[in-house]
Amino acid sequence: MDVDSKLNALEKNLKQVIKGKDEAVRLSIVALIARGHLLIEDVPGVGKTTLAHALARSIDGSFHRIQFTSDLLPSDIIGVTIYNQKKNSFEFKKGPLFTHVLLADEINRATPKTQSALLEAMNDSQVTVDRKTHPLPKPFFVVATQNPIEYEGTYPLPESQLDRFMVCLDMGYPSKEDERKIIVSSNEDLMPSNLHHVLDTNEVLKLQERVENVKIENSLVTYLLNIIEATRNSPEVLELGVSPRGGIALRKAAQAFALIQGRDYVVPDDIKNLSPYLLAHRVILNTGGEFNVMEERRVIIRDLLEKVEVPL
Amino acid sequence: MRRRDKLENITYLLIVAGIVSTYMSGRVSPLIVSIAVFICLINFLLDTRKTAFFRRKRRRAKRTGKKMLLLKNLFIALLLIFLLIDTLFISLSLLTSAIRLLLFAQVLKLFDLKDTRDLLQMKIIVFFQVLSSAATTTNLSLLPLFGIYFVLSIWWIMLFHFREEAKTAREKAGYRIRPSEVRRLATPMFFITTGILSLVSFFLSLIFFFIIPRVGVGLFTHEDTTQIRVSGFSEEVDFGDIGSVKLDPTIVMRVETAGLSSPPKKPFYWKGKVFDYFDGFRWQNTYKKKKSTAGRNPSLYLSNAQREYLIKQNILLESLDARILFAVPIVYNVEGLDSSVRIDEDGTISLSAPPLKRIDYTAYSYPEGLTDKFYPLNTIKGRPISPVSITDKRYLQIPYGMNRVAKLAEDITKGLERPEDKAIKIEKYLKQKFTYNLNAIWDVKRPLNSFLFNVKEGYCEQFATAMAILLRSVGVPARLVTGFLEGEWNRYGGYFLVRQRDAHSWVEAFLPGKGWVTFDPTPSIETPLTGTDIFATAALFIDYIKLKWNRYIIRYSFEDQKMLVTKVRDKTLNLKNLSREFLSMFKNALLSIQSGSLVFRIFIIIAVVLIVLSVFTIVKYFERIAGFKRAASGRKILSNEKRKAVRAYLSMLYLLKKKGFVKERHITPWEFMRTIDRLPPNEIAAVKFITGSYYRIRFGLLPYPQRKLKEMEEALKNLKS
Repeated sequence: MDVDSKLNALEKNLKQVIKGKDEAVRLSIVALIARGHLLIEDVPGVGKTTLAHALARSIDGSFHRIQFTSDLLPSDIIGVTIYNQKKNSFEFKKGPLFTHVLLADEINRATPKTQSALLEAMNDSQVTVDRKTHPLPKPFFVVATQNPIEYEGTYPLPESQLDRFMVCLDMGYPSKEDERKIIVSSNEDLMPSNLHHVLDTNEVLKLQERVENVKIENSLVTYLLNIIEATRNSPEVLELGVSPRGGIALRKAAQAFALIQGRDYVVPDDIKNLSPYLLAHRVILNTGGEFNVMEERRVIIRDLLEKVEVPL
Repeated sequence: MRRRDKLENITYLLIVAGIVSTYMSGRVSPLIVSIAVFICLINFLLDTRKTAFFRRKRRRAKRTGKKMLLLKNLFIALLLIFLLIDTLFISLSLLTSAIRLLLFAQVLKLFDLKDTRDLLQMKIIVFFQVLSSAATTTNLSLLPLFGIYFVLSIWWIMLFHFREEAKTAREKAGYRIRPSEVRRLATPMFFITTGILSLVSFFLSLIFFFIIPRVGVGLFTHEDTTQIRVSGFSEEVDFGDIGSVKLDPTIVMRVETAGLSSPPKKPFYWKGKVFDYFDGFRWQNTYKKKKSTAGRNPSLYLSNAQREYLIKQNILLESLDARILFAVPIVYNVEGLDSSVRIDEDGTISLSAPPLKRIDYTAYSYPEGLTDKFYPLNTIKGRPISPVSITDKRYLQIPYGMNRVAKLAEDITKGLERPEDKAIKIEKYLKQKFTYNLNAIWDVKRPLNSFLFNVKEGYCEQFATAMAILLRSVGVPARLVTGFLEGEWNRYGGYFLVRQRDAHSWVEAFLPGKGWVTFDPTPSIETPLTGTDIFATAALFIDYIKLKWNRYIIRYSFEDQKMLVTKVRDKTLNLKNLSREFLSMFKNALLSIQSGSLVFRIFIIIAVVLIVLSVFTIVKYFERIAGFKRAASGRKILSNEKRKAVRAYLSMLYLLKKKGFVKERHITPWEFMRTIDRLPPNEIAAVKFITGSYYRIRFGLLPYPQRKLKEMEEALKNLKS
């Protein structure tokens, strides 16, 4: 399989519907091929769902979408055990979770109980119901969107659960030029459901394997460790630093990022560029909740990056 | 065979420095010191050659570790007991016994130099050795030794640090640093740079030495009790006392005479003790009713005209076992001593007790024959003081059995009336008819007669005695004086260097209208070292440095600091004149370099070269360190190609830095590449190529890095031109 062409095709596919957001597109691909999950956080109407949907459409696999609401129950996504009268036994009815790509729209509108049911599945790639373990299909990729936490009617995800998402990105408003394109283009062109598949599930799995084989030099691991250490040793700005899981995620993401750029080795820039998107949602600022928006945290992470020496 | 670590080598050098400093302290016999050096050498040689043997032994030692430990502890206990006994019964001085203990501990430790900890302990022992020897001696030769110790220590500490860092890096960060990596750090360049740096810091610390206020007490008080034994200055002096020291080159004192740039035509005599009574065998001082005249400040008591005549002498006197001070006759006043000084009527300056250390004083004398100018009536408050009145019979005393001597005196001075002529005649007679011989033997029963009539050979003691008695026989009051000859003129420092062998005795005769006048009947002996050959010159120069060392380092005091501050304040107070003064100072400095002695000029040149060199090396050094640190940070062990790529990239950074593009530490190479857009396109291309290649070699898996490296070199060359 030609990795480059596949990844290029995927990127191109996504760019068809997401105009002028190359970074967001790339980051979402990183999350996909690094076996992570993607969280998109932004105000309504900037294309969160469109990106998630486009990503799902590009892969030739099963795709479910759950619109999270405050009355959604865990069983609504995992599935339920019901009595089969014919077989005279209880039977597990799989919920929408059992899919290759899951779009969890507005995840922070659901109650914590439901949220945690999903997040557990994300972490273990399996679901246990009534003492029976049901593996999730492979690949299993969750794209969640959420409104900024200060919005009404939300149950903000706790940090421990945010940690489960590999990448957290925001879309941001498009530039004027891009917005013009978006506005004049016909509705058809921007419908993700009109995209055709460019990857099948097997190819995704192979790509994920390839990512693991991207070379990361020791000094870069040290660099990565230094960055994480910096988040932990900055009590003046950060109340909570990055966990080891965050470190793992950053390593995987850097490898994926290198692969996307056609390299089989990681360079310092990969780590440096990804850090704000991989680490910001894993830390808590000292300033208190009010200013704890993602953008603020990214600024802090970027500041910290200024203090960490790049290996030569 | 194991390659010896540089750290170990330096430790051995330090050990030698420690042993030498122990030797300099003078508290341990040279035999023991040489044994210690020998053991050190043996250990040094054995350790390299028989490593296998040692290793086997060590392994066994591990098995019988308990036994070894017991033995070691036993040794340490023995050492402590030895220290106690030494302090209480043998040396009676804690410092001395501590110095000995250190040496023994060092020798013991020499057999036990296994790991880094042992080296550290050895370093500490050497530190205390140097410290204690600094406490016991003020010898100048300690300075070069200390310099060597200082540089060695700095090397040692840095190498030690490298080693420890390598160890902790392994423990903490988990990456391995090979010993060879550490060894590679210690290049000759490393030793040269750090050596120069430490010397520079040494000289910088000298500034602090002069600035930090003296408190007058040290960690150890100086025990400087080695007194020079001198003869001829006690209450009695034998007929042949001084002869025994006539070959001793020990330095007794140094005399700076104000306003004197060359030795005077009429040589100085440093007068010490005066004797009036001769019993035929020995001289004694019998005058008990001494009148002290000390404490008259010349600037208060004397007129300007009188002060013109004064001879000011700055005298640095070694610790002697006599309480006599020396000065050119006739002494008027002595200044600069804390303890009470008295000047007797006969011109003897004495302290209440022999000084226990080197002392430094200023004496004012007026020339002989000018007494009346200073004491118009020969009195103070109406009483005669100096010269002693002629009626004082003490200076005319003659022992029994001197008839023949009296006869001789009459013969010599036949036809002469004036005492002055008689004295000159007698002096001439003795000088011409008698010969100087240090090994002369005379009849011990009648020494003077034997000398005058039979042997006719002798040295100053006999000549002076003979002249004094001959003078007394013809009615001229005379007395014997002991002291020192002028000594050697040190042209570098402009002072007299007086040695034990310059000890001398001569005669003072009282001449009416002139007072007491010096006569020296001893035939002149050939002058010692005239300072023509190179060794003598060097010796003079070294002695000059020693004098300055003693003056400005050993005895540098709070007073000196006050003077320095006053000087600086006076210079800076007048801001208007400051710039002018500065200019003239500069001009003077230039002039003095031009007109100064060759040695001084060489000194200046060396100093300038050293300063320039050190500044240069400091800058280079920090550049290197910064580059190295960056290259080494977070690095495991790099392959050869990778290291070369890093080096090429670093040299590119260096070139770009010259062009004004500095890569900050947190900027990645690609980010940096984007900031250099002001460069011409071909250079941007080169930078892009180098950065790209560097990334691929450094972090990636490039199949042909050698070719790429060559291309990088090419690109670098382009960038350079």
